[in-house]
Amino acid sequence: MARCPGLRTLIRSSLSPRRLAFAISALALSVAAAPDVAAQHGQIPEVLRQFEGGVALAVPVDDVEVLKAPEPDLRRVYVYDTAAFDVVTKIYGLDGTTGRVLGQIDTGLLTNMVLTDGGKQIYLAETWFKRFSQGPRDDFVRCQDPVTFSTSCDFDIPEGRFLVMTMPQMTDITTDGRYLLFYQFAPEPGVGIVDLQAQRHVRTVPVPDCYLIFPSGPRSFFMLCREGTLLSVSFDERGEAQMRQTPVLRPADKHFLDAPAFSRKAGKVFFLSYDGFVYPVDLRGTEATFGTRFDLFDAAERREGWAPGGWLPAAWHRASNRLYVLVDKRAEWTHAYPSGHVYVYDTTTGRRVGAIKLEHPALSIAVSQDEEPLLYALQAHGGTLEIYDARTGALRHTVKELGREPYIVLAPE
Amino acid sequence: MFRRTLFDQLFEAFTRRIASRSSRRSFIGRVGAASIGAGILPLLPVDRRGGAKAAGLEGWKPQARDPMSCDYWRHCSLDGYLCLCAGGGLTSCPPGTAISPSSWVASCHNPEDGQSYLIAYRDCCGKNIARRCGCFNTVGELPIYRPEFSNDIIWCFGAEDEAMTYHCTISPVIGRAA
Repeated sequence: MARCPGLRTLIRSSLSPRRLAFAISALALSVAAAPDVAAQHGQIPEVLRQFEGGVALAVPVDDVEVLKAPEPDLRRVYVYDTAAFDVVTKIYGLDGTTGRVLGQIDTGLLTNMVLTDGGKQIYLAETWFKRFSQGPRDDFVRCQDPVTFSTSCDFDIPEGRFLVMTMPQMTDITTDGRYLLFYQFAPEPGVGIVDLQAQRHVRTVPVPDCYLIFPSGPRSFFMLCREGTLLSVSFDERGEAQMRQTPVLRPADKHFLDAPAFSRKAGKVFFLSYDGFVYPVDLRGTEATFGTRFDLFDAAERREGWAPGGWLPAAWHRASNRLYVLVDKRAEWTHAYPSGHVYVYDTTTGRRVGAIKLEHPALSIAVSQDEEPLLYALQAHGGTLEIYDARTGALRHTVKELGREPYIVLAPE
Repeated sequence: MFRRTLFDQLFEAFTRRIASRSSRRSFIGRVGAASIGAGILPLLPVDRRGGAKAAGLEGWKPQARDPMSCDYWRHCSLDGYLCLCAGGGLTSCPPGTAISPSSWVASCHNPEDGQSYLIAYRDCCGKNIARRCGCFNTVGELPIYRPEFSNDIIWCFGAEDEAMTYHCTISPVIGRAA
């Protein structure tokens, strides 16, 4: 059956005389052409020959449709344009292999996106207001289908999300995929526990002066505390929690950048200090094991002022134990500025095994978790994603126009 | 003594405002005077460098002539948008916004008189982002586990009508840093 604009087209059309006339013409043409099109799909319908004054057209009549994205794989990557602190924002889904944009997710203020099950599940923790930027606030969780880019679940949570420039570890999901955990800053510090299976908020657990959430098991997670310890938290189905502090990880005279490299699947986190040291920690259930600290730089580089920096300045490739870090020569207090280089480290030895000079300085990086990993380097102020072969440093793709100020690039595990 | 008094005043006001608007236990308990008062002041970064260009990887080089420019000395830890460019002023919010009682702090060097001053940045809230005169300055910015020095937070806690949307930022001086 050939497609016909019909009454719906007319109704959807603007009522301007010109558009109305066009719609009526299109309707008439379709009705007249329908039998020919059905019989000669892919060929030039007779009616079009007549319509064009007898001159044959080289292009067959088109069908139109809404596409689906391919099933997500480990080359799927998402770029979130926080647009600074805009109340209306968007997330682009891309295929890292081709560098093509596959679809878009519309969202609100400072959304946190969490991917599970190799990217087959997408969860968004979101905030919206009744009248654009004003009126009662509404926080909620939505699931997104990675193939149709449409909403597959939507339910309410308390209005407690911490509205800070999106930091991935302010929201995460337990290792079994059952509970979403979100950080609350005010009116008191806490972690909201959301049952994704029942689609309901269970409880917000008060926590001490600790931040960021690192899931370490089906009912456990860790946090980084003001005084340099980690907080171990375990909870039950009712949200009743047990907590204890680890020994001090962060020396009192050092500070950690806000975004460490974290693998929920491996239970590993790599904190970076402002001055260029890596602090590895293994997280299993309620146990944290501190690894051996290693230095990102040699003595000569330290004299030149090399230091890590960016918004998401580190990414870890699980299969190869490679840590990718944004670095550059920088003055003090430029720790959040883009970097022009990515240094690569073997986390089993702490040794540097590679260096990639980026085409343009990047604010955030991520790495695909397949056997032939891609390095994603995001320029916030240019809205551009550069895609490199993570093993050779060769530039594969440059994807432009990804919003106004994209800060987040996220790849599934 | 001067510094202690100044900080006590700042955070007392902050505490009262938050407490009066919060029905639950105030989060100021953990960001309260005990941790934020005089004890924290020795850790405040004091910027003493001079110059006239905007920040880059080469570092902060403040000027004292044009407050509508991001390298104006008061904006040394301002990561956001200048209210000066959005209908407000250096120390005043634009019409129709709500001024936040909460703030983050930094020490900024004034190249004109060679002194460093404490700035308690205040967000103007309740409207969408101004998106004019965007600045990205991070002098003295500390990680999120030290939120009183973090400029990545929407500092609209306690604003009227619980307005938690960010519009722009003002840079009032609250005293001398050293």
